Amino acid sequence: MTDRLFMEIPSRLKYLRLASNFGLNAARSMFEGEDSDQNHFTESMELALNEAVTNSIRHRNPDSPEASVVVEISLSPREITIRVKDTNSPFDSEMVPTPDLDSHPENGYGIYMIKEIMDKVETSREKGWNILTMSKKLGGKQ
Amino acid sequence: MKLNKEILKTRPVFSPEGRLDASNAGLFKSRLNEEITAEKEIVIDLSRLEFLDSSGIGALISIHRKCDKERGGLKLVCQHDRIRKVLELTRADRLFDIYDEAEAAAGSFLK
Repeated sequence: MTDRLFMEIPSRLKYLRLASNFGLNAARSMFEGEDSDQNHFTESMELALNEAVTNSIRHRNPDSPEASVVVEISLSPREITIRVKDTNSPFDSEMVPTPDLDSHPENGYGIYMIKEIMDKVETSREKGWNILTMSKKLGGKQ
Repeated sequence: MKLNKEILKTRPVFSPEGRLDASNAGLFKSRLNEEITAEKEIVIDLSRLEFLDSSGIGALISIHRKCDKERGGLKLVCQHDRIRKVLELTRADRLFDIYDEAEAAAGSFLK
């Protein structure tokens, strides 16, 4: 069975923590009633969602102050899938260059970090919405 | 985010508390950059942070560059795995001198 969770926030950084905590708590609910400590997994979901929502907010169209960011999370027993949607200009995660980590840039890490954390990352455009879909299986890459 | 300051071994130690993320990294950077004009050698203790993201990493790198430019120095203190993992993921751990204890970090300037 797959459970679906949903959150919509105004596209402003003051709501970033709400979205971030949504990812953390959704991931934690996968382990409710279990003894095992899955902090690494749940904290990684918090970080990946935080980076995705930050990107959406940072690239908000300045002419759209009422824009929102939508987060949909699908939970199955062994996998979490997170979709982050915005109405910004078209965006393709594959076009984002990998930062030159050895030169220690001050920005540009967000998509790179998401790709490092998650098993699968895709972007699509549907009916004016950018959709970043990322998923991770339990026991996937560390 | 609350930013605490104490003096250890004559050096200022700044301890951000809570989350250091895109919502407050700019303010954190501004406040530390102001301090660097007066104090050239500083410690940032990340032990009270619950969460650090790429914007926070960017702020730390910027502060490090400012210290270098002022011919000073920045040492980090990091005790928690989840914060250290973000430093490692971005390879920022290779840029900073990282200590387990604030006293050792502050004392390292005296050597």
